[in-house]
Amino acid sequence: MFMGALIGSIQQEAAQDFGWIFQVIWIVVLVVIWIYGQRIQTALMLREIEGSLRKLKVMRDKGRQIVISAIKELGKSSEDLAARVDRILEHIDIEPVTLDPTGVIKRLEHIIDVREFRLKDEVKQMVPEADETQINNLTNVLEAAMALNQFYKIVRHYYLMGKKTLSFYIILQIQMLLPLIMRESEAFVRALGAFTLGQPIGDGAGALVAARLMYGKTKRIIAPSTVVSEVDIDGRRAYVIKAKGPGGNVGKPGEAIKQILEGVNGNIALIIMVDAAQKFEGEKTGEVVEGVGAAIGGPGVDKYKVEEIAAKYGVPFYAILIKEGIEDVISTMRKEIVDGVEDAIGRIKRIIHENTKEGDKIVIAGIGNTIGIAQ
Amino acid sequence: MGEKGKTRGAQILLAIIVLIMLTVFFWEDIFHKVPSMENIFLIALSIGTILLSLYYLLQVIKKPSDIFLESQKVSCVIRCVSCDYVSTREFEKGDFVLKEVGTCPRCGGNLIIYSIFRDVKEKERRSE
Repeated sequence: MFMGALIGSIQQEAAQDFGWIFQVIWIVVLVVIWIYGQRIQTALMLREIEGSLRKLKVMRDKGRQIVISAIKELGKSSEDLAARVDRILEHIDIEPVTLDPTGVIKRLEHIIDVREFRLKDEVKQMVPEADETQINNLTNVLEAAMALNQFYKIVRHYYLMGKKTLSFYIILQIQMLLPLIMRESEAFVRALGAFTLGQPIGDGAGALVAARLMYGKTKRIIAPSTVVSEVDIDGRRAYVIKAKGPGGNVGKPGEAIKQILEGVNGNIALIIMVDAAQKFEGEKTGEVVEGVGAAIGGPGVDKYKVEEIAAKYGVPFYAILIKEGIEDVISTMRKEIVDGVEDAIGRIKRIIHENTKEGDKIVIAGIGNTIGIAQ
Repeated sequence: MGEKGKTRGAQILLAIIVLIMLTVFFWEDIFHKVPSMENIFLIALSIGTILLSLYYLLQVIKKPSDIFLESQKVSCVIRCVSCDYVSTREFEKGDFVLKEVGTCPRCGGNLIIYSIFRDVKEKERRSE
C-alpha cells in the first residue's frame, strides 16, 4: 500500500518535469554529437579493433604453442627451442625492387627459393631425425604461425597508430578490412590443425586430381619437389604433374611444364591445369568451372613460366577450377571438394576428347599444396 | 573462478538488478493507468529500456566463439584397387591419400585410402 502510494507520487512528479528534462537532454545530445560525433565513432571503432586484436593475439600465441609442441613431439626439446621459434616467427621476406622490372621474376623466384631453403633448414636443425614429409609439414605449420603473427602485428600497428593520432582515417582503414583479416586468421588457425596432422587441405584439390590420374604409374622427379608420370588417357599420352607428396609442398609446376615442353620441342597438343580457386559468396563449395589461362596462384613465378612457354610454342592451355571459400583453402578438405575432384576428372577427359586426337601428347598439371596426398 | 569469470558474474548480476528495478518502477504505467499520450510515451520508454537491458544481458551471457575448441570429424574412405569394396573410418595420424592400409577382406587386393575429408556442420553449410 505504502510502496504503491510512494511510486505513484514519484511518477506524478516525474511526469510533470519530464517534458523540459527531455528537451534539455535532446539539446545536450545534439550538441555533443555535433561536436564530438567523429570522436565518438573513432572511440567505438577503436574498441572494435581492440576486441579483434585480443582475439588475434590468442590465435598468434596458440600458433606459436602448436609449433613448439609439434617440434617437441618429434623428439627435440632443447632449451633454446622457444627462442628459436620466436626468431623464425619474426622472419621477413623483402620483395625485389621493381623500379627496373627487367628480370624481376627471376629475382623473385630466387628470393622464394632462398626463403624455402632457409625455413626447411631451420626445421631440419630443430628436428634432425625428421623425414622429408615431417619436415615439409612442420614448415607449413611454421608458415601458418608466421602468417598469424604478421596479421597480429599489422592490426596492432594500425590500432596503436590510430590511438596515438586519433586519426579517423587511419582507424577506418583497418576497421574496414577487419572482417576479412579475421576470416583469414581463423582459416590459418584451422590450417594449423590440418598441417600438424598432415591432412589434405582444400588447396590440394588440383594435386588430388593429378594423384588419382597417376596412381599406379611410374613417377620421376622433373623439377624440385615435383613429380611427373606418363599416363595413357584414351590413346593420348598425358604427362601428369603434381607436387611430391604426402608432405606439405607446392612444388614447381611452372618449371615442370617448361621442362616437358622443351623436352618434346613444344610438341604438346594441350595443357590442362587444375587448381582450387576462391569462390564468390553465393557460389557452392566444390563447384567446378572451366576457363583458359594458367591456373596457378601464388606470387606469379610459375604462372609466368607457363604463360611464357605456352606462348613460345603456341600451345593452348585450359584451366579447370574447383571453387572454395577462403576458410576452406587451408583447412582440412571438405567432402564437397572431394566430389568436385571427381567432377574435374570427368571434365578433363571431356576436354581431351573434344580438343585432341589419338596419339597426341598433353600436359595435365594438378596445382596446389599436396599435404596428405601421395602419388 | 578466474578474474574474467568474476567480472562476467558481476555484469550479469548488475543487468538483472537494473531489469528488476525498471520493471517495478514502471509497473503501474504499464498495467494500471488510463492510456494518455504521456502514459503511452512512458510505456514505450519502459518497454524499450527493458528490451535494451535484455539485449545487454544476452550479449553478456553469450559465450564468445572459440575456434580452438571446435572439434571436427575427419573421415577416410578406403577402397580396394581390385574390386568395388569401400569402407569408411575416422582419420588417424599418419594417414594420407593413396596410402596402402591392408588387404581387401573380399578379394585380397590392396586397400588404399581413396579420400580424406572433414564433415561440415549443417550450420556452416547454411551460412554459405
